[in-house]
Amino acid sequence: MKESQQKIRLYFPIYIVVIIIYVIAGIIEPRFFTWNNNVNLFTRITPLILAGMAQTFVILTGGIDLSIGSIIGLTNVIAASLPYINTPLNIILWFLIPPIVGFGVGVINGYFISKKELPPLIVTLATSAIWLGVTLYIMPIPGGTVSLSVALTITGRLFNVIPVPLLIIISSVLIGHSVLGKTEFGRSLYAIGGNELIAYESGIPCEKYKILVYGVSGLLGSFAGMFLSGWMFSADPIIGEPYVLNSIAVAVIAGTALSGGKGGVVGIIGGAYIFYLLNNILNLLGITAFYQYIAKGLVLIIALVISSPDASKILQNFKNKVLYSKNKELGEIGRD
Amino acid sequence: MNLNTNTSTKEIVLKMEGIKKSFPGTLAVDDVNFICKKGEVHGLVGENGAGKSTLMKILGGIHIQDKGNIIINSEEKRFNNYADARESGVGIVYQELSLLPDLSVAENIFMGIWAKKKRFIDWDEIKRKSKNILDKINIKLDPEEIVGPLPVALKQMVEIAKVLTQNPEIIIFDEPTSALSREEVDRLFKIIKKLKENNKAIIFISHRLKEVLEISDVITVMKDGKVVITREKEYFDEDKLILSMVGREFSQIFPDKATKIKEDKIFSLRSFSEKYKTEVKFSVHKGEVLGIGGLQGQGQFELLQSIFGLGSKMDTKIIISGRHFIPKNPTKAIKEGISLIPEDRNTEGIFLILSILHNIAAATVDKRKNIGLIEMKKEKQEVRDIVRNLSIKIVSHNQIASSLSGGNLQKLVLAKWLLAKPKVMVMLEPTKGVDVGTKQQIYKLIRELADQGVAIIIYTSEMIELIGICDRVLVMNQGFLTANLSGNEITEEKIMKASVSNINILEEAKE
Repeated sequence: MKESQQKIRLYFPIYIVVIIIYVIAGIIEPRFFTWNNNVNLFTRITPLILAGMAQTFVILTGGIDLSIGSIIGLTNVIAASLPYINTPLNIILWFLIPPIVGFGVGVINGYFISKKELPPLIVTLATSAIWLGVTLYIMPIPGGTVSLSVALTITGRLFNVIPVPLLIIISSVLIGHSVLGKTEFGRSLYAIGGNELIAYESGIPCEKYKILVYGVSGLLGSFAGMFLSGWMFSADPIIGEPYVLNSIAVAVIAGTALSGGKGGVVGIIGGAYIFYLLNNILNLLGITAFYQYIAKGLVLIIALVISSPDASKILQNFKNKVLYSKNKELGEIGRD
Repeated sequence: MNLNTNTSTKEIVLKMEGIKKSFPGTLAVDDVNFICKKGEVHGLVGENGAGKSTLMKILGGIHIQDKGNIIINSEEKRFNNYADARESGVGIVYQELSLLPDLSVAENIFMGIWAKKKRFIDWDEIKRKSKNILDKINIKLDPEEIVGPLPVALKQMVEIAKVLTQNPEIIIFDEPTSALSREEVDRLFKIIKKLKENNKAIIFISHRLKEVLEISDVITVMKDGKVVITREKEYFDEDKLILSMVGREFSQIFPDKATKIKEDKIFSLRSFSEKYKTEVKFSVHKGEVLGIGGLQGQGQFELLQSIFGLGSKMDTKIIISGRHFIPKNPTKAIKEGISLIPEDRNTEGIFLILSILHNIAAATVDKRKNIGLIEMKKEKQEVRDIVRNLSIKIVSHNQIASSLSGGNLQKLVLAKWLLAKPKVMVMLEPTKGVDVGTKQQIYKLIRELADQGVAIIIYTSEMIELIGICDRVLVMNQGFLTANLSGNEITEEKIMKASVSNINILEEAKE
């Protein structure tokens, strides 16, 4: 009971921000509330949610993954370069090869970070460059294609009603949430980020899990890359770049501390929503690009301030001050 | 309370009235009245978590009280931060020294209040002033010396000098003696007495009751956020102080020792030290509490850590319940049934930013897995049980660990390792920095564990603990064993003698 209350309090502010932006958007442009516009939004935020989850897992250990963009690009290109004729074998390959590549590439990051004790920031920056090079070698300009039935399934609707992206979003966040809370792996991520020495002395196989977490990050990145190829029906070698910093921003807005050990994935949907709702409104309003950037930056800062743990402290201080002045008044009245 | 009956004529400088402060889950200070007079040393004692630090932090402007008034020189004050408090004449000499190690003595003393000449800092003036202040408290120290390499005692003097630059009327000493030797304490006391002659009001906080009795004029005892008693020091002796602090007398603090040690050796060790080029061999019986004594830094730490697979300077081989085993890392050691309570709980024992549940469960997550998922219900139940058994004071198991007090944190470390159900438990300084009440609980717990058949190996630098709780004591000097004492042989005299002895009892036995 208490636990769920605490979590609600933690994720409450961010969803408030989402609802506020959402309602404002609807007032400005009633079309915003239509189901079609919303389905469109689900599709847009899916890759960012996957990338944000990848980043959250890594940040929880106190690390960071700057190569997530290149991994998205690489797997995006691979997914659109595989044979696309609709045969069972081709479809199986399409679902198998990009995740294997993504996981493998992530494990390479993990190997250098964990076994060689190199700083994650530099390792992933370096591998990011390498995989971008490889991606551009495979596909220098946007192109390729994917199986039509796969593409239609990924962005389609289940039983003609429920949008598949929504299913992907909800199931991945649910799975991510229970992995973090209910598995030894997830639990260990918090411990490693909390204090790696104590984690080691508590018998947690830190080396193994640190390699694994970058593998998982790569895996989630590959899902984002595959989704993008299905959605766009083709590939773009540099499609992943914006996801590098956006995924970090989303993770932090969702309440994950950059220093590690604190956070989770429940706020991710809200974080990703804030990003795209804003784009959506500003586009609907027909505002030019440079104002859009400025507005986006401002709203990000506001979202961060509201969702940061300090916000509740500031609120508490405010309450205390009000209470103090009240007490004083009461005291003076009492003296009379 | 008694304060009103105090007939001394000294002038009251500080009055704290009805101070109340709560943190999420705990009422740290509950309706406390506290009065200080000029030219008086006011001792403040209490167990960890009794609220004395919080009270002083309120006086120092670090915490803001929820209720109550602070009156200095008949003027009501409200402190929002340290600077406010400093301006009103409150100075704090911190327990954790707040000096910058790479800067000079003079720079540290005048940090932030630089003397200036035409917009540039006037170093000569600062050095001269520093010298003056140091002279005032009779400390011979070159103001240009770098602070880092100075001994703790001198650093403390610099800290005091730094506080004196503000010319405070009320000076708080928060555990100033915990890192000092006896002679250094005497020197500190001389300074305190001098400050007292200069009509300063001094608040002296310490766990060392003898020193509190020695230096204070008035003593206040706090317990559970409330003032238990405030009386002139003549009223108290050590036993009376402890009695009002915890409601128990000191002599009852240790539990009875084992009546009979079982015969089965559950654990044997053979270890070669690369540093000392010496070998150590010993075994522990089931249900035995073995103490490792000796002067500090004679290889005891390295030896005991190597049992758990930490450090690399020892070549250690172990036989545990008949199985040969070389401890390579903690994961393997835990699997063999070994646990280690580290010395420094803040850096090695507790995940300060994680919840109590996560902390207690950290070492045993793999024991509660069912098809890859942690059994949450079982975990919560086990954590709840152990929290109750150890009477750890918490509000919820989702509470963040850093919100607990020192004694409760140490119990948290114990709880974590008790869940692992070890066969051998290694403890390094298990009662470091905890109050008398918690110490007693820990001693009792150690004995209960031993009675359940766990072999316990303890390193402690406190002689009284070796004598009070251990069934057998091994003394180490320069990496080898110089004595193996049991029963009535465990006396202060024999342990001291062995600590400086050069006879390796293992070699002696061979010859």
